[in-house]
Amino acid sequence: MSGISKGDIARTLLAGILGLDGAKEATLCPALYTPDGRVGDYLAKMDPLVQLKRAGKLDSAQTQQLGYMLEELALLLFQGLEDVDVVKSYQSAGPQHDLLVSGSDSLWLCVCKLLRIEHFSGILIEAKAWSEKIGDNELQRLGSILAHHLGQTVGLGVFLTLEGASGFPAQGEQSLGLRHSRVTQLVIYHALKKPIVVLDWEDIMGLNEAGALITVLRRKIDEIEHMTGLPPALAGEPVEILLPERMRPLCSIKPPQPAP
Amino acid sequence: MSVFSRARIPSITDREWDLAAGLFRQKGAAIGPARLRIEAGLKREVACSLLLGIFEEGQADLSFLVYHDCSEHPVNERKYIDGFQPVPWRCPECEQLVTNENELRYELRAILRAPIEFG
Repeated sequence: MSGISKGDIARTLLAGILGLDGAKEATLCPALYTPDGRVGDYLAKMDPLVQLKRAGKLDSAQTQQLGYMLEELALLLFQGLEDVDVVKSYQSAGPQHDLLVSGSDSLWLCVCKLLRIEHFSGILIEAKAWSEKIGDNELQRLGSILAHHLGQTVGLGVFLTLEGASGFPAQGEQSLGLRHSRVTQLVIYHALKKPIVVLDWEDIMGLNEAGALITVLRRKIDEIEHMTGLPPALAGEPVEILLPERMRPLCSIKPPQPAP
Repeated sequence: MSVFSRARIPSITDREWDLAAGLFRQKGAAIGPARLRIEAGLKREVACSLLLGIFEEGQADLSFLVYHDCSEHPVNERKYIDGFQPVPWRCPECEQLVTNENELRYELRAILRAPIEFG
């Protein structure tokens, strides 16, 4: 059979990027995240349940089903990162978290570099299929786990949610003030140098594309430092140029035009 | 004719550069690492640097050819930006459900949008 394995060609692409002067890091993203073939089915089955939940029409059995599906989706999404060789699930009476993924080979190190994870460590993911936004308590608890329990092995915390977190701007909004869990997110980041990011259902719906998980996480992580007050763009969207009106004519990078 | 700068690939030799340049003068040419190795002596990593470079500059369409155990020929082609073949996936050649990604293999292929001059 012709061709070479997925891992080998991805490693060759990494070597190719390293040997290309002025290469864009993002060029490698499609080779570093391949969504599992079942992600599309999960999203298609879950979206009607999410809409029913938002309308307050989900019964308890459906609510539990949605929670389980979000946990399963977390596994399907994060095992799609290249070179993941550790997947652990935790549920204990003490610190409870859902999933830990990590790796050790060159492609995982590249994923960590793109996600600005220090010390090339793992990612801790917690799924919350709540009808309300998650709040301070949840971020503090995950921050405590990152600080005290998994300090040497985890460099990024991720919440998969339906409605996001309190104090975070929604799509189409700009929120320059710091409120609620957004303050906690910043405090944890500056204390630990470890970001905790929150994905909502609209973010998650965009993750069935090659590279999308890395793109979205990277935009969320960058936003913690940039503090524009805008929600990071969804997976398929170009990043908008955020400048005062008087400076825009001077900028050589043009913002995307709205679709006709 | 668009220009690709040699400065972007510091490790390429004069001879490799000259031999590779001849392959990129024809619009629509299909070029992969195997051809670059055979006709220009490029190592796979250097060939990837070159193909990714012309892809970044919009000079070529880059894709993955997907091979399955069942055939010597590619059974699918995916744009580079669409990434690797997700599994589970039903092979269009043998119609078997592929659940193990180790059954699949890949090769890169660039199709030139226009002749490229190596500068």
